[in-house]
Amino acid sequence: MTQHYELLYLVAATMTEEEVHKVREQVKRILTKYESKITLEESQGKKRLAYPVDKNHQGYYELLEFDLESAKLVELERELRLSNELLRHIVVKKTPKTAGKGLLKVTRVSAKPDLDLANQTPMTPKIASKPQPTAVEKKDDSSKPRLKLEDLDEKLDEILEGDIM
Amino acid sequence: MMNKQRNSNDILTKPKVCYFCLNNVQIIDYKDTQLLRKFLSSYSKIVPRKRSAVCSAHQRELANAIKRARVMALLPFTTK
Ligand SMILES: [Zn+2]
Repeated sequence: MTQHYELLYLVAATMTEEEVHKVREQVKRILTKYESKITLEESQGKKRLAYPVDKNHQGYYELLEFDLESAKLVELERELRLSNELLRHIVVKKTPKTAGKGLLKVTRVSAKPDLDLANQTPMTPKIASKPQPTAVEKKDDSSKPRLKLEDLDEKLDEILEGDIM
Repeated sequence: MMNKQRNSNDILTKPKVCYFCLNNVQIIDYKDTQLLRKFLSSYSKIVPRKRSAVCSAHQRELANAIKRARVMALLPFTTK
């Protein structure tokens, strides 16, 4: 069965642009060797690594999407693992093909007003018994949940830090 | 002053909703480190559901995404 996959790999930043380009070609050669059809190619650029990998603190991330006969995946992965230029790589199934960008991020707003209402109620019980706060109030809060999540994280970190140490 | 108190009270008592359900996210991308970092503690541990209010289905996906990101050195396994 043909599946759609996504490959992300990491190349050491000590390499020159040219060498990275070579690696890119080499990986593509491996992919085509297993008769995969590459549908997307994207260099994510040089990034700082979250932890040093083989003494590298920075690396180039390269992304590829491709269709592949799933039976051939094991062999392909083996070959990728054996190539020394790749510090890390990961192949995952990709369910919706990335045709253009931003396909997934469309439906956002609809659920919000009600939930904001729920957010407001606890500290002001009197309002809670009323069916609805004013429309203006709702609009002011529209950007809130996201901020609150960060606030919350920070505060809880503060609280918990005391506990752990 | 008043405002601050209100906020902290808010945090302790407010029944919250899963971030991913709220934003209608079906697939959590392991490459989206900016988002994933919000669900890491200051020691880079995965924040428990109790704290982040993420629903169990999304917490599973989230945990998988964070672990993938860690393997790729996009996120730390630990800090300090
Ligand atoms: Zn959820």
